[in-house]
Amino acid sequence: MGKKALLPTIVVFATAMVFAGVPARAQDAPATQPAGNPSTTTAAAEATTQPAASRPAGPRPGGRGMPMSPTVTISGGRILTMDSKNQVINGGTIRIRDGKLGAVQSSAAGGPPQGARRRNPFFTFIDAKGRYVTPGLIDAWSAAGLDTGGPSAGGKASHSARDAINAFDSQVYAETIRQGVTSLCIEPPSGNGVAGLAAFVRLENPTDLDATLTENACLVIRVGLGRVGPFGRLNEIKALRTLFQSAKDHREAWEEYEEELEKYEKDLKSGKKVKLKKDDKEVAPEQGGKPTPPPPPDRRRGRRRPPRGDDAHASVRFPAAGIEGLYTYIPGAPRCDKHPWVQMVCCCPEDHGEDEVKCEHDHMDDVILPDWLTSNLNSGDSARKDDKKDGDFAKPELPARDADLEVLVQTLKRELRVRFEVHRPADILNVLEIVRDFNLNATISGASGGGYVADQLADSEATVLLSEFIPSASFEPTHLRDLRFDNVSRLRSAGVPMIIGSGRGGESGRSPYLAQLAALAVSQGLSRDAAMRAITIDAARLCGMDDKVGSLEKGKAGDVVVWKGHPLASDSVVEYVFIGGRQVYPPVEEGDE
Amino acid sequence: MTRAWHISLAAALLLAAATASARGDGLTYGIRAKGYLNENGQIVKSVTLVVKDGKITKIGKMSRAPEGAVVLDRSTYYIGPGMIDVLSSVGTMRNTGEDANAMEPAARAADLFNQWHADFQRAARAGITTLLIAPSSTNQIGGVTTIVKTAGADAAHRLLGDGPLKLSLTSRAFNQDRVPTSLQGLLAELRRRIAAARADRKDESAFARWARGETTALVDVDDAADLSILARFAEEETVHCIALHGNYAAERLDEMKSLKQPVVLGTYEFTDPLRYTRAPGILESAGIDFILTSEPPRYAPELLRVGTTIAMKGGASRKAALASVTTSAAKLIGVEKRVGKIAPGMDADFVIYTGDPLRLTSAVHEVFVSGERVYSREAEQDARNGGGE
Repeated sequence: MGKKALLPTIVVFATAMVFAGVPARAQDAPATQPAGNPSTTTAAAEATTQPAASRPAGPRPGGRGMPMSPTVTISGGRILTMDSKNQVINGGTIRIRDGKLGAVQSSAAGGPPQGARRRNPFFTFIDAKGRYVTPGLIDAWSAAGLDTGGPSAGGKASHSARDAINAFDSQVYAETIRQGVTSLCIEPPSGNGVAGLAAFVRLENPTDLDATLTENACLVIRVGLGRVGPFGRLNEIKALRTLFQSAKDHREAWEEYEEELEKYEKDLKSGKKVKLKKDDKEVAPEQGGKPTPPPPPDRRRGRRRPPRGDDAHASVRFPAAGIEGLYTYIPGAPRCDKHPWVQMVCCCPEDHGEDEVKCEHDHMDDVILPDWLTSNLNSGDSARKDDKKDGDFAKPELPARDADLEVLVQTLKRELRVRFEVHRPADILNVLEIVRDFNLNATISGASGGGYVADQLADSEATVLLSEFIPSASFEPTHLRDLRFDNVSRLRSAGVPMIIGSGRGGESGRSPYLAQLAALAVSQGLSRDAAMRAITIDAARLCGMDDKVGSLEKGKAGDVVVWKGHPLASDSVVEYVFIGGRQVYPPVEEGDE
Repeated sequence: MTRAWHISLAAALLLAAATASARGDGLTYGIRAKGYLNENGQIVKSVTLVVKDGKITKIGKMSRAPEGAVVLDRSTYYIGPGMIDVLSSVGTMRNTGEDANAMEPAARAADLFNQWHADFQRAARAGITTLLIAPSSTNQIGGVTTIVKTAGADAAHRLLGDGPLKLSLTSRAFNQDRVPTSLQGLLAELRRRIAAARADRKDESAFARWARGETTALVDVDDAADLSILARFAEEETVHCIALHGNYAAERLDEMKSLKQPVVLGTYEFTDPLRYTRAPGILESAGIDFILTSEPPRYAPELLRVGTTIAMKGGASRKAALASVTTSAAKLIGVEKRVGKIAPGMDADFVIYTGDPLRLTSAVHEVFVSGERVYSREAEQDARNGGGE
């Protein structure tokens, strides 16, 4: 009760609004609408156009011609819009209607407008004088509601974090909201290797996963966490290269198939009897065809001897070394186009051009691969299996389907971002090389040793997602041992864009502490503006959600927080949180006046 | 460029002169700051702090510097009191447990003080100027704690003296190889020893003085059940006990009230469950003092200041959050007359921050212990960039 005296004036004209987000009601409401009928209300029509995985996060349309969602007016506050101009509007007004933001007005509304109640009984007016008003904070790296233990090894590319979220972990979600965070990008838990797809969740109704905006905000891959021995590291990096390469092969196999299918159908239509001459292709690749990939190597065979003497003009070399010590890494040597981790050096370049240098394609035998990758590789191999056919012509054979490789193919097409959690500076450089070679749209998360390779990170144009700021005080060798107090300032001097997420510590995540983590980053050299953007609009952009959330701009989701004090100040507390125009903090009790 | 060099040389000389004063050659210096954090958690604007012989002699608005004093200009910075951490094992290489015996009432943490250990510098860098070094909680009676300053070359001046006795009810204190092996066995043994100490009036050991109710002991606990047991035991035996790691205190308010003592909470991290982080606010409204610890070097000392902000976000006031790492902490370990606040007569232990000391956005800029500058962020940056030349 004593606390209420501190709150600014709140005038709630009707209380029925509190039911707007109760799941039972929310589910009832659309049932009254004819499903899929394009002539229903606007909101329902929007619902039908949304992809299946992202049903509208805003309020459901109500029956009886009455909006279930209240109109909210927040007036007189210091509005940090977080828009592209980074506008700060003192004493402005924002309105949320039907769950969406209206344009920010530069003057205070003089109180609830005349007749507001008659027009809309679900009307909330908040006098935010002397308060800060911001978009709901966005945690670009959250583990809220996850059992962070997760599998100790990697998962698969098609694994989805959404399947691991405990939506009933209501306490952590309630506290997350209480600290002004309204959207989370939840990463799948895993050990080293491919973790799976991260989900982007608006906390509109944490127990209702339909509020998930997307299930594939990015693909998460973890490298070099925990105690990794030297050979473990070599294998990890090599395994990643192999994985992306098999995705590349998969993509090519499908593209080839589609090309051939098109040709086949065209020929079939023209009534011609066609012959598919695979041999022609092999001897004349320059005529537009592609060389047939070699048969997949049989890994059960013994280790192959390296080519030697005059028999081999090219010898195969392994950058990862460690293989009988015979090979050395030669920078700048040409790479096999099928297996880019293989470098080829010819002993007699004067005899022929570089074109003749061939990869033996047998080196796969020499690589010890972790199980998770082997399975990925096998599926990749089957995908590019030589489509040998009986008879003269046939419909091209359908390459094998592989859900994991298909996810990876999306990353190669830059349709899906890849987020590498990697900490050690040397590991970061290895990952950046993979990013460059496969032209990935990459984020480097963790990056606790990023300061050491800040220039390389800046050159790579990758975004860095930080979550740790205090170096460990103990001697235990963890992946965080390269963290220094000047990590942030070094990254900033190099011009590396930084996003701040809460990371994956804690029993059920530490999203509630997002603003304090951003404050720590400020103490270490990040500007206040950059830190605010790192937990709002820039975080939204990193997750591909900047068209929906992250700033106070017309048409975006009505996720708004009213703060007593600047959001980054440790002694400032959250007074109101609206998600989709619905007040979620302080929680509105049934029957409250 | 030459001129700039002269200025920096002059500044260096000034500072050398200023820090020399800490060793008692009578020099006085002042620090002009944008504001300082008083013991109520309020910022008092534009002040000058005057230090003489390692003590604070004046704080407040001053039209001019005292006679003969050099004045360091920190007028864009804020001064906060040096923080106190009431539970640590810094510099002891963790050799603070006695594996063979469950009870070591005569053990003294002071014997383990290693003033050169690098973890002291790390603690000072985090703004902590006073530490209590405690025997390990693997002993049921751990022994006598000691209180030290985190910096200064002279070991004798850094020791503030012995602190309270340390006991432990935690599961770590029990071991099948030594008696007592159970909590009830421990309490029975404590009762016997208390009775013996009361019978022998001449026994002036730390344990006997605690047993007679003259001093307070720090008692490590695991959970809410331990808190209840401790409260009952203290009431029956009329001894004074302060719970360490009493993170469940907010769920045992009645017991905490019957203990009539503050409670030590921690270590607060960004990963803590709500039942911990809400405790400070709840305890404050119930009128129970709370004190925070970061337990260096097991946890990072920076977490002490982080803890104050977690407490505030969970509902504690600025005043209580500040007191939990300064005045209340000093009182808990009996050094409140020397350290814990910025006031005339107190040790010149203070921290220069880039902003409000209670905000995480502010960085520690400089740290002074007993009037001597022991950390400078600029010097650290210069060193990292390959020397200041």
